[in-house]
Amino acid sequence: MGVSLQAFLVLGAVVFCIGLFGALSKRNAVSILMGIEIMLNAVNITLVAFASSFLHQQPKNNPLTGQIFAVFIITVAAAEASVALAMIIAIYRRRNTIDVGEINLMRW
Amino acid sequence: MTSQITIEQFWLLSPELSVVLLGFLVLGLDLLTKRRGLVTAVAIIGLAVPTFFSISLATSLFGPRPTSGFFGMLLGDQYSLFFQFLFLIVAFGVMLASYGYAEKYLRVTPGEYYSVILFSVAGMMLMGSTGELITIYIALELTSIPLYILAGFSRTDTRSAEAAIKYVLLGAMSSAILLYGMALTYGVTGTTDLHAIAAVITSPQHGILSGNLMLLAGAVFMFVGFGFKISAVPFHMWAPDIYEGAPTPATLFFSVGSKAAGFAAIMRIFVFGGLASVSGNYLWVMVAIIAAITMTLGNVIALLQTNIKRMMAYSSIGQAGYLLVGLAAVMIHNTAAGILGLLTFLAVYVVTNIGAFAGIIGLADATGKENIRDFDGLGRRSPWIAFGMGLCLLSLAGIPPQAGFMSKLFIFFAAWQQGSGLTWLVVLGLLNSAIAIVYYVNVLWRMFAVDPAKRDRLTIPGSVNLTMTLSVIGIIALTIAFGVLLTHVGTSANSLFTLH
Repeated sequence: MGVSLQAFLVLGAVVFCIGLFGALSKRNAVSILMGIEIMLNAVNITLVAFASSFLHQQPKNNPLTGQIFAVFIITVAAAEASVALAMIIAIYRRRNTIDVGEINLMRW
Repeated sequence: MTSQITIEQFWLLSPELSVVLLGFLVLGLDLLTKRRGLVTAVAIIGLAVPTFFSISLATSLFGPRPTSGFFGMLLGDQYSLFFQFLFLIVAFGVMLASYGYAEKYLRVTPGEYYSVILFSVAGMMLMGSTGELITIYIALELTSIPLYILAGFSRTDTRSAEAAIKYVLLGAMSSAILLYGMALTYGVTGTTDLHAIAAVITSPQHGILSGNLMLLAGAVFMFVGFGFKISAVPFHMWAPDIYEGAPTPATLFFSVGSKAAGFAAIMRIFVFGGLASVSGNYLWVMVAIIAAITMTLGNVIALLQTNIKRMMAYSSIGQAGYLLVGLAAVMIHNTAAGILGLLTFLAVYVVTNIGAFAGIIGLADATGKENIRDFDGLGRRSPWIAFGMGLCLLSLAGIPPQAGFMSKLFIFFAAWQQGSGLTWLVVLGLLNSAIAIVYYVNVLWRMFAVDPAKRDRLTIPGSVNLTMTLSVIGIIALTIAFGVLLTHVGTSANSLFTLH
């Protein structure tokens, strides 16, 4: 055992906040995408930590649920990232920039 | 809940499954034929198959309908059937309305376009019929990823690419926040099954959970994540840009599909899953405040718009505010009356918005313009489109005796019955309805009273005319047979509470 559940939850919360800050403060679209991926990985840390804490608890909580949830998040995040990168390439071809501050044809 | 997968459970899944298969069929048809009309006809007529399966479930055609399937992930209650029918209507309306526009402005093969719509509709149908957090997340992404693609479908238009990148980045961020809320909820309750979550929250020996901050944070984060989908203030800032930049039929799809699917999942999680009553049952205060800001901001800023699609974006934000009033009423006492109001409002909203957007698509198709001043004299240039669109806008504004008025009345009445806590919200909602009349009637005045610069007749494509005719018939039928709608929706609203 060693590391307690609280430590993992704090790690998850801190990583989530770092990701959220990155996604909100960066101007480069790829950096924003990286921030979002960090947020998703913080969710994965939290889920797996909870799942492993249920291993030794009451039997009605299935510990596999959290791990399966994390696997699904990884898979779906990959699909989402591929669509986002395709959109970034599309805007780069038309505007020659991926700075979201300059992508402002419409009032943001 | 059975622990085995049987053939009846696939019957329960058959509407969604057949929509996905229809999407693949339409995509594959592109390889064989270049005829747009054939592909469109297959996509639209093919909707008869999922409709048949939904009807067979509703009438228990092949024996008694299973109440749940796939280990409780799929629920077979009246509530999920209501949303299946609603999203089938959305798919039909959007695909029919976009036929002429897609041919003229979107230089892609038609199969791609229709299959993306169908995949998204399958996700929306699942969002109403799942009872489990992981499945809700998968359904949400199945809905959203095709919507991001649709926003950027017009490849020659820079604004469309810009709308797509804004939508995909903000959408991904909102689903990350939603997921964090789901993770916290899973951690506290130990399960992702909504029925089990409700049991944990309401059971007396877990009274310790009533002040649990982690569970409260989970519920709030989930609400924030869905707040993006339904464009509630302060998570609304994506809506105007994406509505304006996306191709007009895709905008129609966002405004009806995304919003209804978001509310389907919110009601499922917060009412069926019991999360509305976490932390001493005060979550409704947050929802009431968000509702007040949402409807006021949406309706006031809609007054200032010059682009019709931006105006409809703010109008839809205002409509989301009315729906949130109903949600706040439901969250106080878990009343079926509030759910009834919400479902009725959504049904009427879908039909009227399809009609209103059919008018915008028709004008954009014929002239390529989409400003409010381009509607000058439309009553003379294209009488039928102007008449139908006017009727839809009046219903959206809530002019009696139309269906839009009666469904809004139901929501406000449900909130009024909750007592003094929500009286201010009802008064604010009525004030907002008065503001909303101004910008809806402004479009009407331009269509019928202003003399146009050009007096030529517009050639509106037949598919748009047909969509307009069908939605006008739909609104009149909903207005006349409002009682019939209420009886049918009433069973759906009650089914959200019966499993408790």
